[in-house]
Amino acid sequence: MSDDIERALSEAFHGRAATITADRLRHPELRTKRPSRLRRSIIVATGLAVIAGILIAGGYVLSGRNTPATSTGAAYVGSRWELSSVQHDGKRSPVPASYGVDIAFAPGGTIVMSDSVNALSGHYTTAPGGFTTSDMATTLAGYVGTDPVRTQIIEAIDAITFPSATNGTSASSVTVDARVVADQLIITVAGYQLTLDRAGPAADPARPAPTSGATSSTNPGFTSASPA
Amino acid sequence: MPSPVSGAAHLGETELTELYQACYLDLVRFAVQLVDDQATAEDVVQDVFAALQARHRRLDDPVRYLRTAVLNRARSVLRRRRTARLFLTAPPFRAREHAHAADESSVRHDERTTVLAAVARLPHRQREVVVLRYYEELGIGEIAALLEITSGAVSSSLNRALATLSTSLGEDHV
Repeated sequence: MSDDIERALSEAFHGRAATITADRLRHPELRTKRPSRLRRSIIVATGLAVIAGILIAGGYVLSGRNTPATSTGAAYVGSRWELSSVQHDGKRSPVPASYGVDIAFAPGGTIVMSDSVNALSGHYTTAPGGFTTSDMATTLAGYVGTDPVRTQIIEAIDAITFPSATNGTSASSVTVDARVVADQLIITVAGYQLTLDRAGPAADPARPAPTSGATSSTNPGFTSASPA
Repeated sequence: MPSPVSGAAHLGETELTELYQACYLDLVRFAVQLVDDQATAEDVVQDVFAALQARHRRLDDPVRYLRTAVLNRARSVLRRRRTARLFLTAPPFRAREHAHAADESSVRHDERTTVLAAVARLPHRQREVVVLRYYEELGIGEIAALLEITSGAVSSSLNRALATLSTSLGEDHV
């Protein structure tokens, strides 16, 4: 009886297997891998940042502030700087160029930054040992990843951008320490030290032609994320 | 089952595609013995390759890894199916089998259907051992290594399964 059952089992299994042939398979080819949710989020955020950058370069003026800024005399003015490393709690982490983190100080007093997820812009004025930002606006993409370096960058750029109770600033502006050593800009803010390499000139964003009889001196950024 | 990737290997896209093309059909045939229908069997194997693709893990023995992964995935499917069955009045795959059998005139096919239905009623572990022994034609030691149990446990499961099948198939006059 056991031999009969063993033979019956073998015949049944192989008989069923024989009914499945290559031409009856639903998926004869390997399905390609979809990007992970994290990767998709980063792609979307980067896309938003690029669009925001294009809007800035195109001269879209969405803020109504009349706060002309002048920035002269500091070595970082007129240049765009790319972040090469971030230091926090005594640990320095290199920042890949692919993150695209940069800060541009236009001669006209406009500062434009990217923290790899959002684009930010506003005004800056030079200050002893650093600079002060004001009227900052940002895109509002969220970062859902867990990359600790990217998180540090976002926190540091936020500290440059928005006033907080811990950095000793007034309610509407932020002053940070900054110094230029050779072709590097070193910014110290809220426990972070950002080292940026000079990457080229920073041009003033294009401004719309003033209408007749009016003067225009507005923030060349975009919709402000913080109340005025 | 063929062994297209021998030795330790980091699986790149090319190697993974080759492995897929070489093993997919055999793995589906193996999986169908555990989950009963081709659609589910293909889903099981697809899931295994999707996991492999995501991890790009190092494999010393890809074929053995795939076989084990299919076993584990199939076990999960059967667990979910058993839970779902608690809420159904008729077991879905048994119903399909009977409907399918009614369409067949071949006595041989009827016998096969009866045997497979009896195997499907075995506990998961016994079913896995029976499939590995009589479909994959593995030895007791190989089955033990694959399931990570002792050879004694394999023999015990196999004996119990054959006793159960002997009773049920005897009652069904096979």
